[in-house]
Amino acid sequence: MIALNTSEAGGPVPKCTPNLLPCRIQQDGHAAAKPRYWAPCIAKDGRPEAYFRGRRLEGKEVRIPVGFRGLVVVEGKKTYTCNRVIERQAASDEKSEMDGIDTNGALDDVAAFDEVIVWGHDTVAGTDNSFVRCIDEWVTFAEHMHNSKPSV
Amino acid sequence: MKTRSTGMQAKSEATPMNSKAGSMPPQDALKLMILPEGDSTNARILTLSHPKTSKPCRYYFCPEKGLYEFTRIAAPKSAHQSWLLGPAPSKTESSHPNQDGHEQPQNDSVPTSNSSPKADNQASRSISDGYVIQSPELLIATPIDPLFLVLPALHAKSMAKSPSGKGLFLSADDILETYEETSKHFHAVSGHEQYRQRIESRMRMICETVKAGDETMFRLDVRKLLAELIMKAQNMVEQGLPASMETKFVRRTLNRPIMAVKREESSQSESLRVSRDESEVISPCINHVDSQANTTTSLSTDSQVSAATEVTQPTRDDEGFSDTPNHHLLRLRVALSYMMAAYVAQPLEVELKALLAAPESPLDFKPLDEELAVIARMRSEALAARSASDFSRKRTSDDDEAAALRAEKKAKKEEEEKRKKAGESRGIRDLKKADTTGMKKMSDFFGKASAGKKKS
Repeated sequence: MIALNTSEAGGPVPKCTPNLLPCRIQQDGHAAAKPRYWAPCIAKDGRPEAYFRGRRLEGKEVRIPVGFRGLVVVEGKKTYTCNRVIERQAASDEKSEMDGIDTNGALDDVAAFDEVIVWGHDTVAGTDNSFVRCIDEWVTFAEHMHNSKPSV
Repeated sequence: MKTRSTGMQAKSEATPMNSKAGSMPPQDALKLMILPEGDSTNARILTLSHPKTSKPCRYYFCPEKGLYEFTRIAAPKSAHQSWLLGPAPSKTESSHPNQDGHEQPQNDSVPTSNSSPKADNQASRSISDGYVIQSPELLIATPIDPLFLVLPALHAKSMAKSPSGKGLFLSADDILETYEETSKHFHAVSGHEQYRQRIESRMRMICETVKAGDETMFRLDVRKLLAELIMKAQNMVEQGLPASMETKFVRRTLNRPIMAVKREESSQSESLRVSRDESEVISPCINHVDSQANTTTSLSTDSQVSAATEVTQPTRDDEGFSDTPNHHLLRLRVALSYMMAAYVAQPLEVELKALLAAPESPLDFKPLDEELAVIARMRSEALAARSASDFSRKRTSDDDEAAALRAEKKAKKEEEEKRKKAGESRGIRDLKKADTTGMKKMSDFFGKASAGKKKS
């Protein structure tokens, strides 16, 4: 069971924009997306546009559906978060003790996002892109499928 | 797109950041998630067994919001995509706010990252400045009806101990405990009083219930389950299927073959055209299929006559898409089969399908099946007509294949020869041009000379 530590106490998490680049970067970690190297902007036709190493990328903004939010999470340090979870749980209700022990992981949120930009190299990603389709279609589809009318 | 430059990009980005990458172990890779809005203090990510495959899967449970399942979107590795977290696109290209300020928090956060909340904050600030995630993954939490989760337990318990084939009535506790055996985390869900009531009320929708004292006993009723699924499907269709599903499974399936219609030479296709036009004129909607089936069979026998009498210009109405009851039926069927394929375990799925196909099933797919049969026949006829009547092509498709094979062989041979030639020296090549008729063979000299030497 994994708990989710949202840092409400430490103020709102910073916003960021995940960009799905049409190329693979063999690296996980920080990268200085300085305006010199990565300066996405809104072109005149209202679409995002960026130049990545001299190549023109066209973006498609995919907004997170209403009622949902985007989070960037990182696996928290186990001992540290576990303690916190137990404390918080103990305060909230009594069956928490079991929960707290069972909690063997936690996720800390580090950033939030409202939209994702899917970039295409000289093309705009269409509905055939799995990311566009999933965010746009799957969420509402699943809602229609599973939201039962309030049963008596 | 994978180019050399992107490879270089990765390297060039990695070099100044090496110290940072080292401070962050790989298991701490960031993940992108889409979660329901609202407070998630009490929310947990659980591992529960999947109703279809009974493999452990991740679920998100929020006491206020309910149960959500995670869907992992990942592009295949061949798609060559990666995440770059960065600032939002700016409205104007020229404005570079605090270009120098970008570097400072990053350099500061190197030694202290992840050791205190403050450092966490620092690290996160630099994340919005730029962070690369190699694998393009996104986890989406979408709501799931708890009904599907308890279904396997319900089914197993109701059917297992049934000498009469009717199954036993069980209390909700028993059923939920059965499920907890396979997925321990479920107690977090079932232990929540409010949500537990919700599960029970959902179970009541698909079960026969009996009051035993003050406790309600449940037994799965497949008919009720089917009715519930159909209600869900109707709801889904009312709200509209997703566009990609609609085009792929509904419109394309019910599209009539156009190829046959456009070919003027084929008398057979002519008959098809007539039959379709007539049927469209004669039968507005409901009897569409039957009348068409009749006309197709009757007209194909005397296609000559029909071709002669046919005067109206056939117009394909691909753009002017008409919504027939069959479309609605097909949509329902797509929705139903999707739910069954995704959430209902194999044995129960078979049972449900049999019930759906039975004559007393609540949904009658007969007109749809008939139309689909007609379309399938039209397709095969169109295909046959095309291959039979295609006189403009001198060779059949089999010949084409053979020709392709021959060409390939030839190309291979040529290449081999070329390679052989490349290995020869210029001297040998030149010698090959000399006229050697009437000359002794080169080997003659050596053989005889050595023999002569031995004699003398």
